Amino acid sequence: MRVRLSAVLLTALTMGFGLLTLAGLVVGDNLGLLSQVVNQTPLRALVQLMLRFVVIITAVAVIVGVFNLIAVHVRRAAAKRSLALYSVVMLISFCAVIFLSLRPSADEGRVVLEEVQIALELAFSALVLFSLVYGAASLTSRRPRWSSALFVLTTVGMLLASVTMSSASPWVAVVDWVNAVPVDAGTRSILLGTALATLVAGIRVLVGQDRATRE
Amino acid sequence: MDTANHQVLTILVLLLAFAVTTIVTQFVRRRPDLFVFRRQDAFDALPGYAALSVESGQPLVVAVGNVGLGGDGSVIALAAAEIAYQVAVRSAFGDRAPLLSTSSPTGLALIQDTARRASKRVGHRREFTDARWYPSGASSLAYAAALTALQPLEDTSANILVGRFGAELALIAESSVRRGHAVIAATDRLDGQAVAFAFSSRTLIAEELFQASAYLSDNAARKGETVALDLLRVLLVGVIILVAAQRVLNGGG
Repeated sequence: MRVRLSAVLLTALTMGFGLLTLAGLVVGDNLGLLSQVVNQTPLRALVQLMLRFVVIITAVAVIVGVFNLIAVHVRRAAAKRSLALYSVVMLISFCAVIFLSLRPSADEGRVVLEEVQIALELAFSALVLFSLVYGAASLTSRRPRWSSALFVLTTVGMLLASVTMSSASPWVAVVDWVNAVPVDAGTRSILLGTALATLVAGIRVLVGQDRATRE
Repeated sequence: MDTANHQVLTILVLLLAFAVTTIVTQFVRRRPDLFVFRRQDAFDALPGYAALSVESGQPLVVAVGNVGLGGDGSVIALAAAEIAYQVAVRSAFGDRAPLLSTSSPTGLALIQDTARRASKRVGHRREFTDARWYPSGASSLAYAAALTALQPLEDTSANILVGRFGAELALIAESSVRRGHAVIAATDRLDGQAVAFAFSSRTLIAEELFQASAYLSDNAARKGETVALDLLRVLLVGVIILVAAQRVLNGGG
C-alpha cells in the first residue's frame, strides 16, 4: 500500500490537535489528577488559541469568498450576456453598502439592512407557507402511504386549529397533547439520533479515519 | 447533576463511544459479509439520479446549506460533503459537472476540496465540479432564493439537499418538484426535516445523513461505523428505559 507523507502528516496533525482540544474542553477543575495535568500544562491556552485560529480562518475565508464573488460578477458584467444585468445590480448594491458602512453615522447602512434585506426575507418567508401547502397537498399523490396521509392530516389539523380555535375549545387539549407528546418525542429522537451520529463521525475524525484528511 | 459528575459522564460517554466504534469497526472489517443493512431508498436511488444526469446532460444539484467547518455544524458539513463526493464521483463521466453549493464561507473550502478529491478519484486532470458559494447572512432564505432561480437557468436535474436547512428548504424543493425533478433532502433541523419529509422522493431522516459512505461505497470501516451507531442506539434506548423504570419505581413520575 502506497502511503503519502503529506496525508500522514495531515492525519497526525488532525488527530493531535483534535485530541488536545477535546481534552482542554472536556476536563474541568474538579477531576483530580486529570484536572491537575490540564491545569499544569498550557493546554487551556492552546485550546483558546486554536479556537481563535478558527475565527480568524473563518474571517479570512469570508474575505477571500467576497473577492471571488466580486471577480465572478465583474467578469459576467463585462461579458454582456443576458444575465449581466443581475451582476451589475449586485455590484452596484455591494459598492453602495460598503460606501454607506464607511460613513461616520452608519444609519443609512442600518436602513439598508432593515428596509431592504429584512423586508425581502419576510416576503420569502411568506412564500415558504405556500410552498409548504403545495408540498403537503401533492404528498399523498406522489407517495401514497399511511405516513404521508398522517403527515397531511396533522399539518392541516394543526393549521386549522391554530387559526379557528378559541381557548375554550376541547381541541385545545388535543393540540397541547400533540405538541407535548408526539412532537416532543419526535424532536428528542431526531436530536438523539443526530447526536449519536455526530459522536461516531467525530471519533472518526479524531482517529484520522475521515476521507477529508486521508486523500 | 453537579459539574464534576457532568464531566465524568461526558468522558465516560466519549470513551464508551470510542471503544464501541473502534472494536465494532475492526470486527466488521474482518467479517464484512456478516451484517446486512436495512434498505435506504434514498441511497439506492442516488446512483440512478447520477446516471440520469449523465445521460440527459442536466447537472445534479448538491446543496449543503449553511454548514461549514469550525462551528457546531462541522460534523454535519463533513457528512454532507461525503454525499457530495459520492454524487460527484458518479456524475464525473457526463458533460455537465454537478453543482455543489453552500451558503457558508468555510463550507465553500470544504466542497471545493470534495470536488478536487472526486476529480482525482476518477482521473480527471482538471476539477470537474462546479462549487459555488451563495452568501446569505443569518437566515438561508437568500440562499434558497438563489437555488430556486438556479434550476431553470442551469437546466438542472435532481436536487440533493443535505446539510443544514430550515423551512426555506420548501422553496427549493417545491421548485424542483414542480419541474418534475426528484428531491432527496435531509437536515439536522426539525423544521427543515419536516419539510424534507413532505417534498423528498426518498426520505432520509436525521442520522441517516451520516451513513452515505456505508451505503454508497465498499469501505468496510464506514460499514463498521454504521453497525457501531446501531449498537450505540440500542444501548441508549436501554439506558432511557432503565432511567424511566427507576423513576417510576422511586415514585418520581
